[in-house]
Amino acid sequence: MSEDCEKMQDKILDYILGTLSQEDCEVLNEHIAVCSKCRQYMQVLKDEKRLLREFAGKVDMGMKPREEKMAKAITSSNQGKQIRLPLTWRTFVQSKISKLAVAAVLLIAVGYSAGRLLSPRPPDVRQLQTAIETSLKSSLEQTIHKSLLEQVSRDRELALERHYVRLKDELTRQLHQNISEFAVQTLAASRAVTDQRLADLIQLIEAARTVDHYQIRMAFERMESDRLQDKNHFENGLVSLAAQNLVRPDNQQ
Amino acid sequence: MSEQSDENLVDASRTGDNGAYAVLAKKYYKSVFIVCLGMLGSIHDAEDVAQETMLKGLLNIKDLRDSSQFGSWIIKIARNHCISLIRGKKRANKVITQKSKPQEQMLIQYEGLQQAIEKLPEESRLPLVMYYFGSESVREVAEKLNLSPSGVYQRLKTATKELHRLLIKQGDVI
Repeated sequence: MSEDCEKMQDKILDYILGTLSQEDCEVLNEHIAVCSKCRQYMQVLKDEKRLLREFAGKVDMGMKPREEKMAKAITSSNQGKQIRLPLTWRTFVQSKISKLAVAAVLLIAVGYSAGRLLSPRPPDVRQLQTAIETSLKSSLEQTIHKSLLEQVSRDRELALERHYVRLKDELTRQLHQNISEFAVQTLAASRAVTDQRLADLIQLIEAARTVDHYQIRMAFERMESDRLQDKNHFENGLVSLAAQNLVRPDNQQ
Repeated sequence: MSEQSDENLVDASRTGDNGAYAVLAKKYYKSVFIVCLGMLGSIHDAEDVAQETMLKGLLNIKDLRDSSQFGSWIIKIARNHCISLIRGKKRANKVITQKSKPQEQMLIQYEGLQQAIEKLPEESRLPLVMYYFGSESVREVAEKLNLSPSGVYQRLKTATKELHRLLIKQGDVI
């Protein structure tokens, strides 16, 4: 790209954003009238701007329903409906672990209260602690196990996806290589076939030329033979004419 | 119906009037969505974060000291939310981005353009998205991003040039 074109393409960007001065606009118009490359660059940028505006318009069309949905979700929370909480807290609140934990704590609390009410003895703190630990452990172990399995599964899926991308790249590279090799082989084969065809053609031309040459030679020979025959006839005619002329004066005498 | 001021709506929201907050959310949803789209580059991520920002705003409305500043306050929440999401993604070091949700039918034809926008550096993507998608003037973008108008023009220029390069690289030349 020439230095001039580089400057002009910078001006084209200003033109697209609507910040080019009138004076520069004239300079740019003069340039694009003679430079097809810059003219094309300007057209493509104009089309991209149009596409951006179209895309923005489509996104904007979906804005009203989103706003309505949002407002509805907020208003409905007034009527006692559950509102969507931020992701991290929502995930925790909705998770099985939290529900089980709450259930376990409630059960223990009820058990503890019942024990306190029914038994005259003071509660055994160590026993209570062990009971809580056992209860929590039994209620959470399975869920934690399941959660860990899910995490491992997610990690494995991610790793598989990474491998898939690598495999895809490798296959694409291999495919390109194969296509290149195939193209080279096809080209070589095509060249050999072309050479063969050309050799055949040359042979045919040569044969035709030999036949023509033979026919011309024969025609010349025929012409020569006819000429010789005509010449003989002519000589014979002359001889017989001379003989007749020589005989005639004697007869007159 | 006369339009209520932000101050009145914020004050009503503080007293637990979710209807008043819904009006505010509706009013500022687009601005929040545009900032999220500019920072995250993905429409679906922007939708999720915009929604979560509005709900976070509802939960924390009592923390807003100046009722007239709801607009800038909610945008700040959205930006912080986006930043933590970007950091989280970086920390996770995801080679592959999350599988995108199925595109809305009407946006499928702009998939190439959307991908190119996603790949733009954030500093030029945000002004570009605000300018084209938010239909904001250069002056408005400059004010919101705390930049000079010429700085915004420069970023828009860089974004236009880079977007063109990315579209060519993707083979999506128009």
